[in-house]
Amino acid sequence: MSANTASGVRVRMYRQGLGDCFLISFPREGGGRFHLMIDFGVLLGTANAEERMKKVARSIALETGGSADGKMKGKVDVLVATHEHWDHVSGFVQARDEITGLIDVGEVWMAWTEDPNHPLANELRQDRKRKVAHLHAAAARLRGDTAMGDAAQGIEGLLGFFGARAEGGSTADAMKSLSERPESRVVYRKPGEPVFTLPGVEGVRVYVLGPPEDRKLIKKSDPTKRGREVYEFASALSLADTFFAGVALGLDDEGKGALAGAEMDPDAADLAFPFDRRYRIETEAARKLRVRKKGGGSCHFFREFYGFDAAGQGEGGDDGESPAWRRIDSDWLGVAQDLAMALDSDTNNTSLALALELGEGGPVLLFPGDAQVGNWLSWQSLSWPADPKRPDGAKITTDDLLRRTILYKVGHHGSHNATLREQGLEKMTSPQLVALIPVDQEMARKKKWAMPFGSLYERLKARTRGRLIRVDQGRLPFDEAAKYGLTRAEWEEFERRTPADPDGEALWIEYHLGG
Amino acid sequence: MAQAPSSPAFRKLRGYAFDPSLSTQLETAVVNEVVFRVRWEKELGAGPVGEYLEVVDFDPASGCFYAPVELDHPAILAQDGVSPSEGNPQFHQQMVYAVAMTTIANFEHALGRKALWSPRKRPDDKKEEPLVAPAAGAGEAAEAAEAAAASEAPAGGSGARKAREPLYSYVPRLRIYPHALRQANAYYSPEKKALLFGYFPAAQDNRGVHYPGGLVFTCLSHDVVAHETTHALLDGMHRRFIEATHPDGLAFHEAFADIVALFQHFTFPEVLRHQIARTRGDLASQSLLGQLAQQVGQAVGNYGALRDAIGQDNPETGQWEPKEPNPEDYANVLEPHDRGAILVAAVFDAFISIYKSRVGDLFRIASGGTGVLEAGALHPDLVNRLATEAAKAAQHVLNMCIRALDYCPPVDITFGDYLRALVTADYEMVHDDDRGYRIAFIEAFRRRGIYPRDLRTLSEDTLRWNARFEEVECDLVPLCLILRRFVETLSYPAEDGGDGTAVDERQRIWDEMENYGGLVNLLINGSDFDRAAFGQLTGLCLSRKHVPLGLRTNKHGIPKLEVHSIRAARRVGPDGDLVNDVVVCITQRRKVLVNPDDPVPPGWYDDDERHDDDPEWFWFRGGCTLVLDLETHSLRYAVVKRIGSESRLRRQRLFKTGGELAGLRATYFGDPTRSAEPFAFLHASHEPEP
Repeated sequence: MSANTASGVRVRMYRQGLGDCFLISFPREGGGRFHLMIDFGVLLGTANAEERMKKVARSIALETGGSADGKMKGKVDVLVATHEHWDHVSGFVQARDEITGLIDVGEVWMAWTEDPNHPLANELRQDRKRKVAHLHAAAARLRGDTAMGDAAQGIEGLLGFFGARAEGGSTADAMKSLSERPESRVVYRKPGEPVFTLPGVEGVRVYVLGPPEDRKLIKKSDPTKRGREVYEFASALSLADTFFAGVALGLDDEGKGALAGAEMDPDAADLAFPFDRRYRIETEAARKLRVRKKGGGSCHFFREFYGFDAAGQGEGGDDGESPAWRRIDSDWLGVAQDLAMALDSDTNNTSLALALELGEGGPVLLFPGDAQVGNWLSWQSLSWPADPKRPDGAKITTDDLLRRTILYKVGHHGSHNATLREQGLEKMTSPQLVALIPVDQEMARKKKWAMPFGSLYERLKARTRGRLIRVDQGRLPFDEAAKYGLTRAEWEEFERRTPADPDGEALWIEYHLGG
Repeated sequence: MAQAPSSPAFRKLRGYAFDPSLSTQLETAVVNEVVFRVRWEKELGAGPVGEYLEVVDFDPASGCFYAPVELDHPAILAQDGVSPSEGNPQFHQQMVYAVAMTTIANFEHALGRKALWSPRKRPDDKKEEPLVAPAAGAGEAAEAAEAAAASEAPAGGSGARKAREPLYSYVPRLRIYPHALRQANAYYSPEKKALLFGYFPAAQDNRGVHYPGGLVFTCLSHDVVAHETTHALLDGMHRRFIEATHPDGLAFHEAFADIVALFQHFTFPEVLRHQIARTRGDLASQSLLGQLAQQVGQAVGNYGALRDAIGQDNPETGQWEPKEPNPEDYANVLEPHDRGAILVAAVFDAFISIYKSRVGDLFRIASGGTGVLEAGALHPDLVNRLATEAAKAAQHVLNMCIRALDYCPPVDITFGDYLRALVTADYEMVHDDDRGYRIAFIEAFRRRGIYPRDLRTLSEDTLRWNARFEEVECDLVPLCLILRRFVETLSYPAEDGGDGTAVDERQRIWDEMENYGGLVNLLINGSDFDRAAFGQLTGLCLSRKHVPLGLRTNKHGIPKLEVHSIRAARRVGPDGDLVNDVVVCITQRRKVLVNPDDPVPPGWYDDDERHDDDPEWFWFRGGCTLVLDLETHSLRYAVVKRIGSESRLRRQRLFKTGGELAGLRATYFGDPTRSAEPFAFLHASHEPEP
């Protein structure tokens, strides 16, 4: 049965750049195909991004039954938007005309975190919006300090995951355009809902694994050392609040305008000051402050020991201007890097993670979005009755699903914290395991990101015995795969199952299951 | 007229023995407020700004300044300083000053000389002078002097730099910013020669003793201040230790800073007596003395102290449990703080053994010979005697740990090297180990799997730095004569500036170190010097032949070297003789590729600049620490890291590509250990996470 269900299933990975776009198609009972599309985006700053995404959209339209002249629309039965990051949803903005004009969508699936009627979801989104605005402000302030330019660039790179700041160009706009499609039904998925099937497709069952509906887990992003499961940034909110209160303080009018709608309660902002008002000395007053000098006389203390002059090449002392190299005007903003990373991870953690089971007890396709540690860990507490009619009977656990996983869409372009080791990859023990990595290493290198992450990449190659497909390089060549134990015959079989687009434009590559 | 009273020896300043959180608990409030006895500084300005430190209270996140405290104001002098208060920034300034000065005093006491901060490297001026050939990757002051002095010929065509301008300049005072950051972090900035302390709101739960959501100041934690000051002091002595070349490198920095902070707890007699009474003399059980940074640890959402040398709270039961030494740890634990904790635990363990052997008789006397005490509180006299012994043992251990720094290699230190340095340093102090101190250390290190991998046995005499130089004939008399002059010059009183201004004694040490370093460099490069034999002794490469790839050479093809530091170590030796030793560190560097197979254009190795399209590379350093006896003109110890060692180079390459250390930050921000603020990263990446 499982072999039958798997046969004819095709997973297509589009090769638009560093970003996710997958089209999975299942044979329908009685002919035709059922199309499940997951994500449609490419990283901000990719060359010709719009053109590429339009091309991908046209290809999807054709593949799903549309006509080349566009007179007949294609039909995607289910469109999944895993999470609100530009490299997953940019196409909905960049190729808006194509995606609406050429393709009909049956259902749109999003995670519960996008549900406008869910209180925790609203809180998370509100918090995210505020932090994005503040981090942009922090990055702008860092830009002004040459020594901190790298930090600013790093933060802006991370904020690029939320799209451009221009009107209509953000991820929020992309998500909004999805929920406003008149012909589609939007479904907010949450883990723990009963297993369900795809209409008209025999044997395929869908398991929703994440994101966890739990405030703590959804904020947990980094692997803990020493195996302790304590969540990080226990006080991220209040820590961030005091920090941002400082950021807002130093903004000019333009910067304050940019923060509109994300301002802080003035009482809270005042509490962020460490000392009473009477102790605080403003810069102008500090410049003039004189203190008694040893042996009589007085000196301008802060001029001599901190300095206000931008050039500040002096040596200080005896009322000279203190040198600029010892000042700390921007160092405190460096923590914005941590906050930007935390925000990025928190958003990745809202990924809708799906497992598609091909026939009862059959092989599993795992699409975790960019789920990070907290999301992955939460799957461990899930289980589903093997027989829906007997809820107290035998259970299917996440471990069962991982054990049967034969195709793994590697999370977050192969970064180190989006694939769990012991509770994840090491449990995918199927000898047929294949990995798809939507990564463009050149692009990642330009951004100075370690994607794919060295040791994880090694482990993936070992686990799949070299049966691995990347967006940038396609399938692993035989010489490379052979190092991980793949025989020539096996590799040729793998090659046969992984055809690329016939035009040789490297637009997509597929993996054909079964048969 | 009555004679003017002489200056006092100490300035008394009130402060916290641990941090403010303990003052809100009835049990510990009585001992938490202590009076620091800080060496009297005559010229102490507002700030405070003294000989070693300048406290500058600017809070950039709040956009405001806080007025500097005037400790010499009669009203403050008369009441042992500003009274402890979390809400008064002037007290914060006093607290950082008092703790930092105490830490400095401990260093100077152990080393018997003045402490210097690491010098400031001249900034890269490649923008103004794009054609400078031998630009300053990491700077070699003596090299510049040599380049100018060794050849009277016009200084090489296009490559002429502003000759003689020193690459390093003296930094008289470490700057301290008590409120520099709004985050749960504090760090030493090697770039700015400054300590930056943060403040942050405590976690919003009620488990610890802090006020939930209230502000926590890292500058009010004795342990955090002592820890950061120690980073600065260690950097002043060994400025290459902050380069991450080995898993032990940054871990050593962390561990050493913790060791100093920990053992400083034992210098507060009130606390010591209180904790000995509470633990009934068993210092190996849970006590405040073995814990670091209580409040900071709790406030970031981690119940218990930030670091605990001897045990930790079991996350399941919430109960404190002693840490069991595991010989596998050293091989397996790589994260710098966790790895550092192994070293801290080893030293603490050695201390406990020493303490136990010192108090065994007291327990027997107090228990009628059985050694088993009756239940109930200890007699106050016994507590006093135990406290005296604990304080003595702690002071010895702290001195040993600091003194060992003189016997460490100048680059690429490992814990095994440090053990050898400890044993050697202590042997130099006390030949006869009748108290078993060295055995205690060797035992404690061995139990954690820390020992040098290249020794056949693990006895005291093999661990002592060896004497392999005996096989090499090398005339060291000229070198010793130069160094003798250095020591003698500094032993004469400084001439005053002529205008009555006092001479900065520490600046004089620095200047003479520069001068004599230049002379040593000239000597080694001179035509009479037996470079081959000296190279054999020191592991340096000094001949024109067989120059390893990437080694910096001068325009005559002779390898360059840097006289890194010269330190006098004069003291009364174990036999009552005057030991007149001097420690000199000489280093060299090579430009090497991370991946040796990467192709490079011709001439690439001669270019010191970093370019964007460079393959990944780093400076590979080697060098030696020589301990010379100025009385007999002989070499006592040579601690060598060979510049030509290919196996060491292989290990460093492996370490550079290991990459697991940095985690998420490395995914997005590149290798943080190469950034200008290595400690900012180190502390930040650890502390928000329990």
